[in-house]
Amino acid sequence: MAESVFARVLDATDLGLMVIGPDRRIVCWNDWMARAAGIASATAVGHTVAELFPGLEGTRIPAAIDACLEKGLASLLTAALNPTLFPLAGRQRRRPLEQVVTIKPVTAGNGPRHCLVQVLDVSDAAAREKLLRQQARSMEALAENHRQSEMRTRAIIDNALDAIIAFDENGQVIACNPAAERIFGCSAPAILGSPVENLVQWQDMSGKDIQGRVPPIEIWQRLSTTQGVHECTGQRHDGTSIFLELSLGEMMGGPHPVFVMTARDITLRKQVEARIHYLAHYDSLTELPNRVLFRERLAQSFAQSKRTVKPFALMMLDLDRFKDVNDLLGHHVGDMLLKAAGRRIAGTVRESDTVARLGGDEFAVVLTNLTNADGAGTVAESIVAKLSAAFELEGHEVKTSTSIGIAVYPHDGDTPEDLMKHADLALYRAKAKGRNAYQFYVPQMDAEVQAHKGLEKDLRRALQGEDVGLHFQPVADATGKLVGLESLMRWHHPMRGLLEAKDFIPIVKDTDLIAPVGHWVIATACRQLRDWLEAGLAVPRVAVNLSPQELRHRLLVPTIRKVLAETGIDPWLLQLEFSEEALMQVIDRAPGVIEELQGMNLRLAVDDFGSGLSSFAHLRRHPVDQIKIAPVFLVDGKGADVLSSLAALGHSLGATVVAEGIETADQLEAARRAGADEFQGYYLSTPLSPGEIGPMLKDGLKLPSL
Amino acid sequence: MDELTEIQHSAITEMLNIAIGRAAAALNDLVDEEVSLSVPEVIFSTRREAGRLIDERAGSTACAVMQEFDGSFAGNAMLIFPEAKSLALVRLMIGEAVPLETLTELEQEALTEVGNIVLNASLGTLANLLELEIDSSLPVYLNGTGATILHDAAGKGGDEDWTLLVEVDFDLAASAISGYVLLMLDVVSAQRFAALVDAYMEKFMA
Repeated sequence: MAESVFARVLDATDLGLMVIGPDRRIVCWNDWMARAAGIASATAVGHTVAELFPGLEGTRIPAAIDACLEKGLASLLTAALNPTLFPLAGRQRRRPLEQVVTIKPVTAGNGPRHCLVQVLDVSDAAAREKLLRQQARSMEALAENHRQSEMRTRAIIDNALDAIIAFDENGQVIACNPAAERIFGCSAPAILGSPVENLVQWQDMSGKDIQGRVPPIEIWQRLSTTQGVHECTGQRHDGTSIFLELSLGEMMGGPHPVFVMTARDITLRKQVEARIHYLAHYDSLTELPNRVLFRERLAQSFAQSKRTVKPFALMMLDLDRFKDVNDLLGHHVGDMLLKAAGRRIAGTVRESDTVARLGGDEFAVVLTNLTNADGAGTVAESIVAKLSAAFELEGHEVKTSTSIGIAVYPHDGDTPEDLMKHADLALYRAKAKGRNAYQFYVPQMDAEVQAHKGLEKDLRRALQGEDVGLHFQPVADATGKLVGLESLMRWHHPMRGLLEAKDFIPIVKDTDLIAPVGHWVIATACRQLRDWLEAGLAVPRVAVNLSPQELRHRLLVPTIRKVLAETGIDPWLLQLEFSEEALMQVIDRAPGVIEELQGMNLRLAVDDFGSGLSSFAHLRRHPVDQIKIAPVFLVDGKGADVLSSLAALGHSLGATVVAEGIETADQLEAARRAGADEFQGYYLSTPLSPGEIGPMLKDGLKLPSL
Repeated sequence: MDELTEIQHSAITEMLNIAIGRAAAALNDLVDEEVSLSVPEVIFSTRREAGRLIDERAGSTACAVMQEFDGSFAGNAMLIFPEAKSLALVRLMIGEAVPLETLTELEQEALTEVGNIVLNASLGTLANLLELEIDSSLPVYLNGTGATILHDAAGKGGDEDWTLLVEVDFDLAASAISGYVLLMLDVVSAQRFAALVDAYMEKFMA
């Protein structure tokens, strides 16, 4: 009874049980084993394990059974360490059974030791673990993906040139990249946890309207929702300011707002921009505003003046004879003069006024907020005075002066262009008046200057054509014999009629037309000489008049050489006539020219001798061939003493003496008595056209004589 | 209990050396890696002291595979690793690429089998040498502090009971795994053990 209950219990047990006797034969085999192994109990009992499962030979199962029976050692065998266990089927029969085998000694009383083998089905646990491992593998793959993606993101952030900084809703920095350390000049630990306000001045970007009144978080949120970049200033760890261009984003999805700021250091760009702006608006030599900035300020002055209903003045000025400084002392000293002059001008006006250099030696001054126009006159007077004081430049005492033209808004013009034009006209007039002075614009200047400009244009054209020609006034000796001709320009102006040199030379003497005019006179005179010579006529010397500007012009000597070479004229036939003033200027400003002209064997004559301020010493050092005495001394036959003194002086210098402007027989007589060698004037002959001179030369016509 | 004589001490050391040598060979087969062993140390101490020793060796939590044995004398044989090392050892043996954070059920069993192989090799050798009659229990996996393990391994008895500890260190240098085998006998068993050792020596000297 008990026996059969125990057998039932064994069969009912949910694990495989077999008992092996000391002779290795199976004595017990439960139903579980029968089902799993497909071997009935009746078959199994009485056999050894090796007989039932030949495939187990050499595995740990037979060895463990031996150790159990012989030494009483219990064993545990798992699938993990034993590739081969019992070949048993699982409940579902499709897959082999996942098993754990235990083998332990069982001894009843003093009986022989038996071996109990139990086979546990661990399929469920194995399935669970398999699933667990699959999950672990997926997790691992996910984690690896995440790690990779994190590394890539990190690499991008770490290598970004822009600072990337994350901060929380209180403005505390929670993360930053290496560029942030570089741009803000401190290490990450110093940045992390510190307020972002230490790095960036938000108020620059939020505008005055919200500064100090709105919580920072609202500024951040506003910036986050605004497209594009914002410019603001930032601060480096060492306290220096930097310019930043930044964008801000709010990171959504977390429990608290997090802001991510990307900031680019644009300090260098700003500096370059500032430099470019400076270069575009300031003159690099004098550091004064240039023409561009001047135009801006002028436009502002219009707007301001309209608002305040106060006049403002525009002054145009240049340095008188600045070119001479450049030519004589070099550009270096010229530049120094411009700088020094700029400083003096700027020092004369208020801080709010503008002093600009427009180019060359041209300056402009804008005087704003005037009570009346007279104020501008006072300032101009003061500038004229300051600039006429000598400049000490590199050991040179440089003297200059200025001429100033002034135009006042609203009286003298409604537009910047008008005002500038009118100030220029006033300047022109100031110069014409004799320099070192200022001049307010008056409307008639416009017409006058327009006329001058027109004349210049006409003359330029006329030089190319037939309207301009030379007349020649004869010079005779005491016997009435023709000894010379003075060439004089005649211009048949289509509108103005016949014009003499004195009518237009003063107008063009300061323009670039003076060189072409000089060239034209010399060339025309020489060609005329050549024509006469080629016609076989006996030709006396021919004089041409040179203005001071022509005499000291750098092209004079080359021009004469060229013309002489072209025409083949004997230089001794050509006489250059110029005033005492011109002689002094050329000695002063173009030293060597007189000697050069004399070296070329040209005749030189000083015109209007005694009217100027010639230094006797200069004349001794630069002896001329002829002096011509001004007609002023011959008026009314008076001044005969002066005349004879001048003639004596001329003779003592080794020059022949010509009395010019002889209009009467008395004057001729007086001049002869005073000691003049030759005579010229209407009494003897008016200037004649080349056509009239020709027969005179041919016939040896005599002029009136004593 | 009296201390062991110097001769007994040497004999036990030698026998254990042989026994654990077998165990090492068995472990070597399993992991296919050189296993090196220290000279066994034989110590008489209280269980409290033994627990402290286990803690000291394991660093933190230890895990152990324990088999009881009974017969000529009774006691516990244990293979002890620091817990982290046990994970490494299992993975080394079953070649699992994706480690889980703790030992799974089957991994625990596999580790238990490893302990079983090592302990059986030791006990079997010892039994052969001393001609013992012993029956061993199935191996059990234990973990915790030294005191917990000792309590679970041999519930009966108090902290102040004297025990004989035989300790052998082994090292798997390549995998940086180390652990040790501990044989724990109560006083009575230790006396019997000493007597068996004497008999063993007499047999050799005769």
